[in-house]
Amino acid sequence: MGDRPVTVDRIEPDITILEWLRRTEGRTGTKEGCNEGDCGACTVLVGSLENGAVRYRAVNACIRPLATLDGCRLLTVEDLAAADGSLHPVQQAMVECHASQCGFCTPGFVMSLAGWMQEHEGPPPDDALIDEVLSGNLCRCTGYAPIARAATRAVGIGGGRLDTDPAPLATLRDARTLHVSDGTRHVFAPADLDALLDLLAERPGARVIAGCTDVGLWINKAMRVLDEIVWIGRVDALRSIVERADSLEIGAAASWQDALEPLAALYPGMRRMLLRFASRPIRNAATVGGNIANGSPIGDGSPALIAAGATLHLASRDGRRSMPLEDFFIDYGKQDLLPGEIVERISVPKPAPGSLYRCYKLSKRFDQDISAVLAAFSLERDGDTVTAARIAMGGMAATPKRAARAEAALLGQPWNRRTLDRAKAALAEDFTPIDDMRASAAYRMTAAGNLLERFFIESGEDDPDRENDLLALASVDA
Amino acid sequence: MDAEQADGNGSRRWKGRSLRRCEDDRLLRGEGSFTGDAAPADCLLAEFFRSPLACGRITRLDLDEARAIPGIVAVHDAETLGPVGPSSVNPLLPRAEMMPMFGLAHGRIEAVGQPVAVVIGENRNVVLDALETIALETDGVSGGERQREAGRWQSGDVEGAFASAAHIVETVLDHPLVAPSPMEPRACVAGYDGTVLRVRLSTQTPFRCRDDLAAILGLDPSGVHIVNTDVGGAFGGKASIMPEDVVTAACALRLRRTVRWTGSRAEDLLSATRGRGARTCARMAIADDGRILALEAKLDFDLGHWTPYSAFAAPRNAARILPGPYAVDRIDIRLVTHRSDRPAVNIYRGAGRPEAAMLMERLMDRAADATGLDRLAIRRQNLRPAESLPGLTATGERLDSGDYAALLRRLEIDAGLSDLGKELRRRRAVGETVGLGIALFIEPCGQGFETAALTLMPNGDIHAATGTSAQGQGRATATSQIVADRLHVPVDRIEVTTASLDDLDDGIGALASRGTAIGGSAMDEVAGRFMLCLREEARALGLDTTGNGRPGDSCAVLEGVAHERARRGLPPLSLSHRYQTPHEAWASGAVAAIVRIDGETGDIAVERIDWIDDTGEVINPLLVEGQMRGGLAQGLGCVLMEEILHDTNGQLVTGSLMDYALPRASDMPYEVHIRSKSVPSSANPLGAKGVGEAGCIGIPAAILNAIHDAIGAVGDDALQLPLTSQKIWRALRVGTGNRELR
Repeated sequence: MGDRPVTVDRIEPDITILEWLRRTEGRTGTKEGCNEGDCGACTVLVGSLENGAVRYRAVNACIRPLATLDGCRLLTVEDLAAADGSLHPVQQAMVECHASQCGFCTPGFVMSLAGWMQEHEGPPPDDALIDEVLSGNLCRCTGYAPIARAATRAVGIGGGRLDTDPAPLATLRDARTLHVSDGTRHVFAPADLDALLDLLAERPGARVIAGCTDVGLWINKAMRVLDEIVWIGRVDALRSIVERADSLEIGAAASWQDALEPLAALYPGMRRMLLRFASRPIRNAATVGGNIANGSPIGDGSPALIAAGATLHLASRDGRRSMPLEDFFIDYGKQDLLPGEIVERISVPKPAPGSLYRCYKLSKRFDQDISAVLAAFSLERDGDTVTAARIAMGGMAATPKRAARAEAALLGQPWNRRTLDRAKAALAEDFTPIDDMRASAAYRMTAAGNLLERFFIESGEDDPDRENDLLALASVDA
Repeated sequence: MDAEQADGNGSRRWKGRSLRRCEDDRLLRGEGSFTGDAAPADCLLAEFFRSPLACGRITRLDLDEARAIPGIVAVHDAETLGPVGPSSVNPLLPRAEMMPMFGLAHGRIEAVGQPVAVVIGENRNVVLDALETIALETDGVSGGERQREAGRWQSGDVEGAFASAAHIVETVLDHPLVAPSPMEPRACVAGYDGTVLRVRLSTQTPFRCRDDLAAILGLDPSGVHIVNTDVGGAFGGKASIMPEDVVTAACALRLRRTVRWTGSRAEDLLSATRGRGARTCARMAIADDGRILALEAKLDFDLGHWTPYSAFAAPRNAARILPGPYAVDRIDIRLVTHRSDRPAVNIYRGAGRPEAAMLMERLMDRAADATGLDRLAIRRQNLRPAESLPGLTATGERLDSGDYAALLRRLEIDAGLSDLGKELRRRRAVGETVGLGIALFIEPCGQGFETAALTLMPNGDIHAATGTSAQGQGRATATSQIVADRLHVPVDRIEVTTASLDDLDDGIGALASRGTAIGGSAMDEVAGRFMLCLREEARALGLDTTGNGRPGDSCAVLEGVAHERARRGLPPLSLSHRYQTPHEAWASGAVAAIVRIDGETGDIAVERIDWIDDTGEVINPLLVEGQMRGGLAQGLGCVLMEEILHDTNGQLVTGSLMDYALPRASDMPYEVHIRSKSVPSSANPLGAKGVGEAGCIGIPAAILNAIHDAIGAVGDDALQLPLTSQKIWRALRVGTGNRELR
């Protein structure tokens, strides 16, 4: 923590970073505003060793178990000022721009901006980027404009680079599995994949955690007691993202923020959804594998990747197996995951030349909201004839699901209105969505069909990036 | 008096400057000390068992299992907690029903989330386990609505005016309940040592909380000590004593231990006080030439199941502010309040002012449509002339100052309204759905008193204590600027304590945008008198009073007096003051908003806000703009997204920030132009007016009008708050022949 090593020898598996900071350490600069990752008052920076340097990510301390800090550097608002007491550029800029009023959300904004500034290069940010950086922080006093100005001002002030010297964290690295226990409750953090698989074979009931953005809510909101957790964040192999000749290989514990640019480079039509997947601090923590393994019918990642034709790779001590991602989801809350088995990685094939891909997220709010419908489409054509079609949706069934009938209605047919109407009609055979607080079944069904139509309309436009370009233009223009 | 006259209103070396805040350094470093940050040794934790049911007589409440859990120190319901007296209610509306609070539920459940029992334990896990064992059943009978006519404001022959009117326009506007949502949820830490009850409380009104707690718990106010603490936003949500405060303090008293309750966001959404919650409708009689002949309004406010101290302020404000800045002699305003099986409604930023402004400004647009007059022209024609101020309104309010026509003129020129209008016509011609909305508003800024005290410290520095509290307004900074100008010393020689219970016997706090107008005036007056005292004292002590040769710098005098008094063993020189404002100061403003609507999805973007505000004399423009922008964001939230929803069983649907939408950075308008056109207030020596609520008053009215302007001919009742894209989308379909879902 900060500049000093901290040893925690007794730890409850479900104690969060926030609770530990405030109650055990008496570090109260980090605040609890909502305790579910919505408001960002608890934002801290977690530095981890990557490619020989310390890389910092802003995350929500309220939903993150303390155990996930093993071997990491934790920076809180108290750590940002320089040794001589002078403020970090972000702090200084916030003073100059009157970006703090009551001061309660302030530490969270400071940390979000400091984390972003650490990696920001080049010219001062535009409004769209600032909004995105601040997407995980709520302020009720300032109206945000002064905070946005402070972000620009901080870049102008410059400096303020956080310590990236790998040495202190390197000395904490070892190959042993971390095991902290009081005899009845256990925290494990294996250092490599083999150790992880061995551990899970012995303890198939243990809860595997990675970014913990969902499990954190089980702890805080559902009051679930977790007696045995296995954190996989120490396993480097699971965090890697590798581009191969024909695919992108995403380790299960790679964060959505890390996967964002590589995925969007292959599938520009996925970028907007990825930005709206969650706030930046949530994307910094939440993992691609976690979003899949969790099996939520409203997770945005799976349908987007299913439409891209992703393959899921599972591993256990007994061996490895692979399957099309869509086959992993059996029923509500039920995935094809054997005891002792984990999601190891996801292969996302590169799109075929000339293919079309789009992904649409429908939710009531732009930022930080759960989808009513998530619809992803990919299409290949030979001339005008559809030669391959993949349609996957979230929020439309008990699992993320492919629209087999609608796809069949497209395959081999000319890509025209008549085919579109048949495919839209077929969606009713693919899905029987439910009414809930996010949308009615009728709305979901209608919206799903309309999104397919939107895909059709946009497919007539030349540049697959056009939507994003238009949006960017709209925000700059205004 | 000679020095006072020579100084006039003091110099303006510090007032009027955009001084950076003295509060910031600490807050930016994470060194703020909020109630929940306190970690007293041996502190017990309190959590509340809240009713999962909406109403009914309690037929079963089982606490025995909870009491038997190891680590649980106490479990109380209303019966076992001991005597808890009624909370006080400000009798602003004598005919409205006062419904005081008695801590825990007494025999009946009145709302979901109502505290029924308190569980005190050694640690949080034990307390949460105990909460889960508690069972509650009721007979499910509602407490009823109990509607009352709470007030009526009548003047002139309204009936006759409507009978002879060339045009009659009307509107109806529902304001959903909204959550004030300070980022710091409520919290309370109470300890009792056998003589003094010490309470650390996240509140806007520490003095009143002291008196309220004493009265409710049967203590002498001198035996209750409220500890000063940072408050993480309030907006009315921390204005009045709450059941959790009372019960936490009562438990500390009984147990002679320190007890902490730290409310969660979920508890704030479930059981903190809400704002708005009104159904308003009005009609206006218009003459052929566009003159307003009469206004008739009915305002119906939901009170929830009990009335916090300031519960009647918002309904009363909404009624008394009508008809806003317009000259209307004939009025009939009926105010109705009613009880419901819901949590309490109290003041929230704006507190009745937004309701009045939106009602009036909708009527003005409708009047323009009816008469065919330009929207600016009909407003201009009906605004009260500046010469009529100070003057009384038809509701009996005394407007102290203002020049509404000048605000509108300035808005026209600075925003370039005629060019904007042309641009919008051009955009409409190419198929865009865009609209321009105008609104004017007035903002009363509080009555009553505030306190202030100054002390000359032994080193010559000044300690300034104000009764006003601070939740982010930068009160300490502004106070230091006021004192610096009176005493002719730099601001860094002044240390300010807000809500200073150690230095002042009494005070109010931060409410109704009164901090500068009333609290600042108290400080200004005491500082003027203190300067006289200092000079007199310097003479008496035989010191040179000409200063150090630099005109306008009294540091040498202050240091001389301080050192000489210290040398002679005299206590530090000190002076306190209670300032009673003779009149209420009324701020005002004019706003133009431009919105763009996506015709296919109903998505709304607020493209531009132009805002001219009369905030009176400004102490610190930086802080004023901060208040305006902050208010703007909340005003935008109210008009576009915020709404507390209960289902038909009374269960809260919007129980987390996932379901209750607060504005985020990306929701803010693209362009905001704020300008000031100040007329000093005649109501106080500083000439100051309020600004804290302005953004919640004028902005929503202007946005609402802009949306109507964009969409065109749909009835007012089709566009009820919050104007989500879904509602806009539906309204657009009404306008085009009610196309159903395709």
